[in-house]
Amino acid sequence: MTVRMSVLVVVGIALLTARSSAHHNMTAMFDLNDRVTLSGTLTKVDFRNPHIGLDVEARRESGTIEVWKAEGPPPNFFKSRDTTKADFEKAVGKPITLEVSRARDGSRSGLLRSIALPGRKVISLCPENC
Amino acid sequence: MKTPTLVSAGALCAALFLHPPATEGQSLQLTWVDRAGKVIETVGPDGAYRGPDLAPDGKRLAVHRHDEITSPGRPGGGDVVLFDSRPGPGTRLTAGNSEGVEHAMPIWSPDGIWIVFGSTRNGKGGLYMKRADGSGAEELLIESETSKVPMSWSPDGGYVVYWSPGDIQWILPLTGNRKPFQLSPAATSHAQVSPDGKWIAYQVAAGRSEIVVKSFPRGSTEIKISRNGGVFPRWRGDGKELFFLSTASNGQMMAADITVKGSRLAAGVPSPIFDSGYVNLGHPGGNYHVFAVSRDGQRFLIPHPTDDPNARTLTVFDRQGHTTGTVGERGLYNNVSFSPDRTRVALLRNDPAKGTVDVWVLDVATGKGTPVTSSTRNENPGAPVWSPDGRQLAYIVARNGVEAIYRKPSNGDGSEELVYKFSGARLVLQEWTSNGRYLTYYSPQLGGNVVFALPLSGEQKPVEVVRSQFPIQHARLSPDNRFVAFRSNESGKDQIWVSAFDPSAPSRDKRQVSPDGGTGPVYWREDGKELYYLSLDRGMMAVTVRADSPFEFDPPRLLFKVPEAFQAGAGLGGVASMSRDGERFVFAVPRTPSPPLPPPPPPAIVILNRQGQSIQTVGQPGRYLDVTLSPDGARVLALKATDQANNRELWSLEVGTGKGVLVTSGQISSPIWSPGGRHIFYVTDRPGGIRAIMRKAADGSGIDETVHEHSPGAPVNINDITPDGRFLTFDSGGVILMLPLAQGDAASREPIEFLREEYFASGGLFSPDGRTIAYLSNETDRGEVYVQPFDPVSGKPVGQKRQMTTDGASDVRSWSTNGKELQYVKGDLNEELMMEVKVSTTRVPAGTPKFLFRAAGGHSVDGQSFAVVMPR
Repeated sequence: MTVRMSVLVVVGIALLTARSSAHHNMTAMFDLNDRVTLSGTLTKVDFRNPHIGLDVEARRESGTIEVWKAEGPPPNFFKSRDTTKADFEKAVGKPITLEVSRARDGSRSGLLRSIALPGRKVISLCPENC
Repeated sequence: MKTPTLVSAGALCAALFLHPPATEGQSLQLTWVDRAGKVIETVGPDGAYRGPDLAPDGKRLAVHRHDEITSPGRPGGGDVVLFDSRPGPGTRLTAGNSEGVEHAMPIWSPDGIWIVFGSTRNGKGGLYMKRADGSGAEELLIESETSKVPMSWSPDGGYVVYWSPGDIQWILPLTGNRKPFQLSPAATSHAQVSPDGKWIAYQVAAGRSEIVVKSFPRGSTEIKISRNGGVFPRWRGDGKELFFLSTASNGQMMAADITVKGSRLAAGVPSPIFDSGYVNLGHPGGNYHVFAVSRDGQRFLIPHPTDDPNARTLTVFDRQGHTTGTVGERGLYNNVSFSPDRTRVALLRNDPAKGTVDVWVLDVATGKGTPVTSSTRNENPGAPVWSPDGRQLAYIVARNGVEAIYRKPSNGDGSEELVYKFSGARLVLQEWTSNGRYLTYYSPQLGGNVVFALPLSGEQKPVEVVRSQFPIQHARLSPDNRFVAFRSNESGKDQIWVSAFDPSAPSRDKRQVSPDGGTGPVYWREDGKELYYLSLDRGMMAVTVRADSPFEFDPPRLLFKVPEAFQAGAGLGGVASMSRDGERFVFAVPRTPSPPLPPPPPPAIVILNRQGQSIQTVGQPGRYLDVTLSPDGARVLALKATDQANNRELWSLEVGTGKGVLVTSGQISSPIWSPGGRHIFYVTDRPGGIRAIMRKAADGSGIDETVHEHSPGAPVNINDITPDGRFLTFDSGGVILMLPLAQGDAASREPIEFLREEYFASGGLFSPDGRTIAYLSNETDRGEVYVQPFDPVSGKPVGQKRQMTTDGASDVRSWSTNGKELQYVKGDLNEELMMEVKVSTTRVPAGTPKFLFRAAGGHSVDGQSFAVVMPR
């Protein structure tokens, strides 16, 4: 028994999740009202389904460096915005700015809401995650 | 950046498509009008219609019909209804049965084959696509927590534009990755792609609504079309005219000439063409189209509000119950009364706009109405009665707060004359006796319910006609004034009684005329030889009076049954009257409720051969959603919808006999057979967004067993099990996973990521030898079939994947028994094609795909026969 691809694509983008490969209930894991803006260096990219993962060394106001993990929509989302895996990989080691919804467990992880890659305009994650 | 709106299912339904318009709950008649606004014809029965959309052939019509009128037991629900050139109630395309679920606001595909509609099923907002002929399965295009209303389908079929809360409109590509992008950063609604597909007209919602046009799909410069407020744009079929409703002139239909030269569009000054009758412009406009227009721009389909649902038609019947005619326009009529010569009808007419009630007289022949009274709010005249010569009408009305009987010429001329002022209240005038000497009225009093006769000459001292501790209604004196007939429930049941009347000696004796219950109205024929009343089963009864001293009568006989629009046993005292010669009956007939649309016939499970020819029908038709053949082809697993939202039944049916057993029910999906056909695996939804993979005996016996609980919020689609039963494969969010069945239990089993890449992968069917899996992937930006060898022990891929198709695929259906061919579905906007391709280990692509047949859906285990769910 198979399921039509079109349906899967839609379902796939509808649900963003936590750090594991599987989907999670994003509203359960992330506080959509608690937004954090992070500026720092992109250190790692996992550009795969069901959602991409980014590691960022962010410099906070106190001057300390914090390692944050951000989760985003599936790769197809970025493809439709003319942003590819290569664009992310080129940004590794370079400064980026992103806004995330903080994880409810208080860990340094968040749900990606917008991101500015080096030399690129801000990519909003609407409508999936705005 | 906009803030997300996460709403409950209930809020969705309320907020959705359905900003409550002024027409909420109001009955509408789909009406074609010409460019002068003149009615050409109507379509279907009246109903709560919204969002009409005309098919490209100009003959078919899709519209949303809200169910609040026709299905009071299903509040908030609604369906998509299709009309064609044939008369009738239309055809329901969607089969909503759940309270509060909307299937709404359909739009046609450019080829006229498909319909996209919005739905609130599952407590979410989704866009679904379905064939207009009702065949095949519905395809979910997009779904999320926010509601969606389809607005327009681009002529090339490539995009659907839809609205979502906050007046945001999205453009959804139907090919490629299907990621919607915003039409405009501003608040907009009612988008319409131009016939050439190069422009899009829409309504800017900020401030005063105006109609603008910009290039499609990604233009930015808005060209203003309306000059002084406009809503609801629609293009003419050649794109040379744009229609909209003016907000400045209360719904005037406007037309603006459109000229396109190269990449430039210019619009002329809009001019009014007719009054649309749509006066709901203060409302944000709802989020649906309120009219449709023919391709040539000469005809406009507008849901016209019908009159008040409580309005009635004055209808005259003869003694056999045949209609002899109707009188005047429909209206809010009550207390009708034939004039003595039956050429006129006096009645009370309600004016809801003014909040007043007045006495009117309608001419039976011409229907012309004449007001007799001119009352203010709360004066509320009561039932008028005719003088014996028909020149005057008497009525009770509370002028300045004091109830009194007045009379006035029945032609409305002159002023009213005070006849008698009461000290009490709640009096009901009954009749003006045939000798002209009395007006009778009913007075419910603490000391008993009394009908009085008021002398119109001499000392105006009311005379008691009949008294009872029970209510007395419809009292009528016989023409010789010696008897009074009335209705009373003193026996415990409404009956018709006749009592002697002597003004000087009130009688307590009475005889029951109706043997088995009776109600109003009650009338005597002018010769006193016949008495009429209504039986409790809507029978208009006649009683022959044989003698009047003492009073003797024959058993009642049925003249005719009054229209079914009247409720049996309710009585028609206020809305029926008889002529004095007993030859004509006038009724204020209410609207007969529109019958609810019949549900679409349930589909049937059919076995097709490789040419798409039907070989066999399995069992009885039912609301089947999906069907899966057992490994030996002897049984089918059928997923069946129920009346309960999200609840489904899973049946195992024998192909040969159609006999079946219920395996399980609940919120289940993607069922498959175990390799030996002894068990069923399926997904069930659990609280917290958890999808669990379950196993149960195929004969339905025993309890179900949890095989695996996936991460909360993650979708699960089971696809296949290896022939040796070692692995079950499912996909979730573009990732194909293998679940080891032979190891551990539900708590310890961890699925193996078989394919997790940048591109989206789904499906997964194991080859007969269990060493290769076929799946779908959009690695090339389009769904294609791939095969990937894997290690049957570890469940991990080995070797290289190979692309089997290059011309698109939307589903993998089966392997041939020898493992040398794959059957798959290639779909586009027009058709779903069952295709077959040879599996090659060396060539990419593997070979030229072979067309098998056209079908939406279908499952096979050998590539030879296919089980499908088909409409009948």
